[in-house]
Amino acid sequence: MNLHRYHIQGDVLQSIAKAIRQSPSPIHFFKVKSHAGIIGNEHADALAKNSATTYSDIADTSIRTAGPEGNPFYNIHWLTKEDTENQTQTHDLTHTTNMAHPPPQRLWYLLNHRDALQAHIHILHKLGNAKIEANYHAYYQTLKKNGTANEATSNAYLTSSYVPFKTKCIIMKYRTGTLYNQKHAVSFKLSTSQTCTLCPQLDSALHILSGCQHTQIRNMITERHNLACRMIFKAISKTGSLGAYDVSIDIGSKERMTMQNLQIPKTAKSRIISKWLFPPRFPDKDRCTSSRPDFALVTPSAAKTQKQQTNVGGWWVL
Amino acid sequence: MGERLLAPMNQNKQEKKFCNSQLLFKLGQDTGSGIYHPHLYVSHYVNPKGMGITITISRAELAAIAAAVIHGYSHTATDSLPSLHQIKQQLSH
Repeated sequence: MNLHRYHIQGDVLQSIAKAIRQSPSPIHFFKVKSHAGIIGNEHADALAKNSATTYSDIADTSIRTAGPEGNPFYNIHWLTKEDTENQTQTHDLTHTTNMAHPPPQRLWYLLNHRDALQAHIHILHKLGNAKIEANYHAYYQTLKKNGTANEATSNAYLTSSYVPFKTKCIIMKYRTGTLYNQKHAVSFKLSTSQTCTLCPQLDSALHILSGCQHTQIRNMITERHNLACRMIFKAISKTGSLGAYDVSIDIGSKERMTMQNLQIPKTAKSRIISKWLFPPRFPDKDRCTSSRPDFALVTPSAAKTQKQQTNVGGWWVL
Repeated sequence: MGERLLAPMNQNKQEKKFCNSQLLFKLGQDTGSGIYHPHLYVSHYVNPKGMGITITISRAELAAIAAAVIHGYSHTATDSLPSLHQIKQQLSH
């Protein structure tokens, strides 16, 4: 049902549209200036005045009045649902007494208007339900089940005064799958292609975040990743004791780190994580892949926590 | 009787027709609209009908255009830009 687009003169407009579509020859409309002395228009104006006063009885009767008893909304049932379970059940009188035209027997007025309105909103509407099947939501739910994701830490940006409001909005859009991309443009009929405008791959929120293969965007993504990692590294170094336990760092070049007054510790190897941190017979090919950790901290036995019961020491892998 | 007045004319169908409407508040609400054929000197009266809140100038303007289109005229002139806009919206709907 297209309730939002229903016009009060919809019956006349529909008859015009139907006649235009069924016309064998094209129909042309012209706009003329009113009350400007155009003879034809002035004559039609006089005709309309006479029609309203004198000749209403002999006027054309091909224009039908909308619906039964002239109700223009006779074919609209607002906030109702079809009673498929029990057809013989009677309606709730408290919801039908104010209606000039009670609905047919098979329709039920909804008691819970809030849910009914929410369900009525188009799924692609900007105020509609968020997509829970989006990648971020599914991935986050998996991490929550595993206990890897901390809800307080993940949502700390919402109350942080350092994060601008616009950035918070963008993060929320990404989390809920409503970050505007070419898929939305196709859904809203603003574009015909779902591919990224910069690279030939399919566009999506994940593609915007880290998947675009355009040269400049790819460099920007890498730099953004390194910048975030350097901020974390700086925070770790400030703690004093933990900063000395770096064994592997992959957060950009030395020049970039120098710009932020950061230095790779002597104990740490850059980019490739040490072999002894992996289990025996772990293939080198997998160890050197691009999905390697950005940080690896190894603490001595004295710094072990209750959760990290290992013989070597505590592991902090970021 | 009204239908006879608006019987489709085969001659000079390509000529412009002028549609207009009038809303009077005498003895209740009465609306009326008319169509004028400038070359054949033919005048048509149109009753927009409508009930209650639908009795408006907008309906009268649309009724005149509807009568012209339904009866086969292909060139119609009107001074109501909102009506043309609504028709365009309805066609694109």
